Amino acid sequence: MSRGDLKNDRPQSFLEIFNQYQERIFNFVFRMTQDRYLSEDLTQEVFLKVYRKEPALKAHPNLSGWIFRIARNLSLNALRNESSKISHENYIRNESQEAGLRINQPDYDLIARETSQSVKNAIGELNGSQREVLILREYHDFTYQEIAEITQSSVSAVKSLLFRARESLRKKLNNQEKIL
Amino acid sequence: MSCQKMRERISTRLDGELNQSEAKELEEHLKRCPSCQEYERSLTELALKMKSWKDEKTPDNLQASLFRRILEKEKKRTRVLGLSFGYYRIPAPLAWAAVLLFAFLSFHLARNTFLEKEVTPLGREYEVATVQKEKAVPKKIFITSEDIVSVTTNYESLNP
Repeated sequence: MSRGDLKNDRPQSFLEIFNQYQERIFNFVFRMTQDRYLSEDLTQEVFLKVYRKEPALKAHPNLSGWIFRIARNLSLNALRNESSKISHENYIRNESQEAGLRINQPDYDLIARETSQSVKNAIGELNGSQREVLILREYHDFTYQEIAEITQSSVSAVKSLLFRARESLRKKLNNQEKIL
Repeated sequence: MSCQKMRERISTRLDGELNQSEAKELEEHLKRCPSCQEYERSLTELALKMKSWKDEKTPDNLQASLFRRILEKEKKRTRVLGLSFGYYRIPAPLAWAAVLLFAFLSFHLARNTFLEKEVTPLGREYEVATVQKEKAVPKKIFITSEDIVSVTTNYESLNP
């Protein structure tokens, strides 16, 4: 990118938005889909949409909520379209990526990794609406009001969904522990 | 108040979203309900377990790939219209339809202008001659765009 481009309003503020949100959006999408390749693609999609709307974003009252709403919609669409594919193929992909990470991290805590994997599997078994509210609350610290805006629902619905998501997750993890 | 309702409040309190009066009722309930106390412990434990799933590192090539996609879209847009109108471009079929319509209208406008200039004098002579000699021409002949006179009108004025 040339110096001239950096002086231009558009890429400069787009870059700021990208740098500020890329990690959060990637992680949100990854936790929703549990597929690195798909998450990378969807994160790009999110920022392509941001780029298109960028001139109008400077005065947006809730930029964070708006970007997360795009990410949420794209993730749910991907989950619907790829529900049959997000299984064995992605499991193998992610496993091989994680195996690569483990080689690079010899001191990696085995128990923590197993717990993390159990949580990941259990969250992956939740339905889309429970999964999204749980991820937005637990990993992104959004308030109920903010989650309601992102998911276009009510605060009471969010409260209820979170309760049911936790209940479901707790049971799934207990079952996994019993099996182990 | 049922344990089920109180457990929902435990979940809400964990998120710091429980109001004071509800929190007070929950505290009262927890004092005398070991089952809900256990439930609260299990939810706290669940929250800790969830935190074990750490954030992933963003792919190194994410920014490069994104910018490549933006550039591809920009180039594509330039090829279609040759001009930039913000991000949004006119869809190609619509653009081509507009170009064809413009060409069609321009052609007809030019053709009409050309014909008026060339045909008018001949047309006038023809009209006068026809009316005077044969005194009956059933079809209309238009002379100019400003002064449209038909043979029929002239014929009627000559033969009241």
